Amino acid sequence: VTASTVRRPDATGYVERGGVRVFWERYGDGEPTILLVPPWSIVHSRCWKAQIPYLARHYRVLSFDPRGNGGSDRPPEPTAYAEPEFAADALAVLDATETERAVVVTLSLGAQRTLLLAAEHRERVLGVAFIAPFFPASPVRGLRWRIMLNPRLRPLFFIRPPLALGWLKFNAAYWRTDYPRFVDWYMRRVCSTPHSSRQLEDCIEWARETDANTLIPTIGGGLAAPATPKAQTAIARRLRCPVLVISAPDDKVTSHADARALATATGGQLLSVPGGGHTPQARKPVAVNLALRAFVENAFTGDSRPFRGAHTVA
Amino acid sequence: VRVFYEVYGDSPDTVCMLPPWALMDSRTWRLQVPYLARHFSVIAIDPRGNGRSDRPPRREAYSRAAHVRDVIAVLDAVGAGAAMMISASPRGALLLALCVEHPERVRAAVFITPQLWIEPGFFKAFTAGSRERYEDLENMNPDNWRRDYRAFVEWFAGWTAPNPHSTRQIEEMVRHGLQTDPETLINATTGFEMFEREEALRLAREEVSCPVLVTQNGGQAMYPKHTSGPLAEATGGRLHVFEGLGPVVYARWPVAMNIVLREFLEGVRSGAISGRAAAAT
Repeated sequence: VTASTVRRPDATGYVERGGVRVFWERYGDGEPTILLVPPWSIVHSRCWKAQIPYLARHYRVLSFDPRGNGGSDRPPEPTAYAEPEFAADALAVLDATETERAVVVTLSLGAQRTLLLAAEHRERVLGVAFIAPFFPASPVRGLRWRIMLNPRLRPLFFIRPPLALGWLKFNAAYWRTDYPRFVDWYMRRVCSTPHSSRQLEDCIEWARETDANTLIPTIGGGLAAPATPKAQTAIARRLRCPVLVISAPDDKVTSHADARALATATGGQLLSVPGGGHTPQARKPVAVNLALRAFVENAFTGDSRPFRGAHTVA
Repeated sequence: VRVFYEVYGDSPDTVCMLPPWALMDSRTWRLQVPYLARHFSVIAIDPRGNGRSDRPPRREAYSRAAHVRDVIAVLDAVGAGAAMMISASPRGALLLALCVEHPERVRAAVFITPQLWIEPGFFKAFTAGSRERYEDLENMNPDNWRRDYRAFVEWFAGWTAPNPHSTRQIEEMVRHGLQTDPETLINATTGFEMFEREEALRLAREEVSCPVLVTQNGGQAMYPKHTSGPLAEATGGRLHVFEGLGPVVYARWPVAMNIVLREFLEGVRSGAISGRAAAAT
C-alpha cells in the first residue's frame, strides 16, 4: 500500500461538435449513470477527484473536460463558450456513451449549463445535484455577479482598472499581464476555509493548464438566461426532476443566498456544508459523497417526492 | 486514579488502541476508530495525564507498571479476555511489557513507529538543562516546557507533522497538548520507564509469542528506523514500511494505515496470521 491508488477510467473518448473536441471519461458500470458536468474552464474534470472513486463503486460515472481546459479543445471565439454549447457537449457525451438518462452532478458555473440540460431535455435527466451553484438570483448577495456580467458594463472587462484590487482582478487586461497572480488570488477565494492547502494547490495547477487568452472568451459566451433574478428563476422553475443543492455559508465566490434561491426555485432540498467554501466537494468530500449517494438512490428508485427544506451537516 | 475509556462496535473480536504519550489523548486514533469499529470492537483509552483521565501530580503514578494495570483493568471492565493491541511511538514499550507480562491478554501486537528505549538524542535534549534558545530537538526539554508550554506544543506538532497539508493534524495535536500542563507531561515522561536496548530485544526475542506487526515511515530522529527492523526480526513479526510517507501516517495518510491494520487484524482473526507459539505447536 502506498499513499494512494489512482482509479483509472474504464473508457475515454472525444465528442466533436462544430470542430471542437471535448474529452470524456467513463468509470464503473453500476446503475444509474452519474454525469459530472464541469464548472468554469479555469479548472477541469479533476475537480471531481474526491467523488469519482467513491461514486464509481456504486454507479456508472461520466465526466468531461470543459472547452478551454484539460483534454478538451480551446476554441478562440466567445460564442464557442456560450452555456448552450456546454449543455450540448453534455448531451453529446450522453449520446456517445449510449446513456439514456443520468443523474447530473455539477459545480459552480456548471449550474448554468445544467439548468439548460435539465430544462430542455427532461427525459434525459433523472435528477440534479448542484454544488456551490452559480445562480446570481438572490437580491443582495447575487448582485456582484449581476453587475460583473451586465452586458452594458462589458467593455469594462477589457479596460485595465487603475488598481487591480480584489474583484477588479476579474479583468481581461489584468489576466493578460498577470495571469498567475490572478489565479493565486482567485483560487484563494475559491479555497478560503482552513485546511484547504491541498485543494488550493490542485486548483492552481489546473488553472495553469489553460491561460489568459483561452479564458477571456469564456466570459463573453452568455449564461443560460440573462443575469437577472427574474430570468434565472424562470429557467430554474422549468425543472421537474428531484433537485439537491449543496452549498457552504462561507462560500466566497457564489453566495449561500444564491444557493437557497436555486433550491426554492426548483423545489429542491438545500444541504448546508459549513467549512466547504466554494469547493464543498473537495473540502468536505465525505459529507458531499454521502449526500450524493442518498440523493441518487432516491432519484433513481423513482421516489421523487419533492425534496424540501434545509438541513446542515457538521 | 480514574482512567477513561470508550468502546465502539460489538464484534466478539476486540482491538485495543493503547493510550498514547500524555501529550495526546485517545482522539489520536480518531481516523482509525470509526473504520476499525465497522469490523471489530474497538477500545480507546485516554492516558493518565490527558483527555478525560486523571492527572495525578506524582511521577510514580505514570510508571510503566501503572499503565499496564490500566490496560488490564479496562479489558476486565469491558469483559474482554484478550485483545489485538495497537501502540504508537514510545507506548510501544507499554505494549512490549503487556506482551511479556500478560501474554494471555494480547492476541496480537501492532507497533507503529515504535520506541522501546530512550534515544540518545532525546536523552541529551531532555537533560541539557535551561538555555536561552531551544532549536529543533532541544525543545524536548522540561525547562523549555515550563517556560513556554504553548510554544513547545506548537513546535512539537509542526515537527511531528512536517509534510504539506498537515494543518488539520497540527491543530488537533495542539488542542490535545493544551489539555494538559508541563508538570503533568514531565511526570508522565520521566515516570514511564523505557527499556534498555538489549533487554528490549531479548524480551522481544524470547517472550513475545503472539502475531506481531511493526510499521515504519520515512521517519525522523526521534522515531528511528533502527528500532522497527530489529523489533520485527526479534519477534518474528512482519515489518511494513510506508515508502515515501512521512511521520504520523495514521493521521496524515489514514487510508494507507487503516488498510494495513485491517489486513493484519483480519489475518489474525481468521488464523491466517499466527504467532510463534501457534506456529511451534
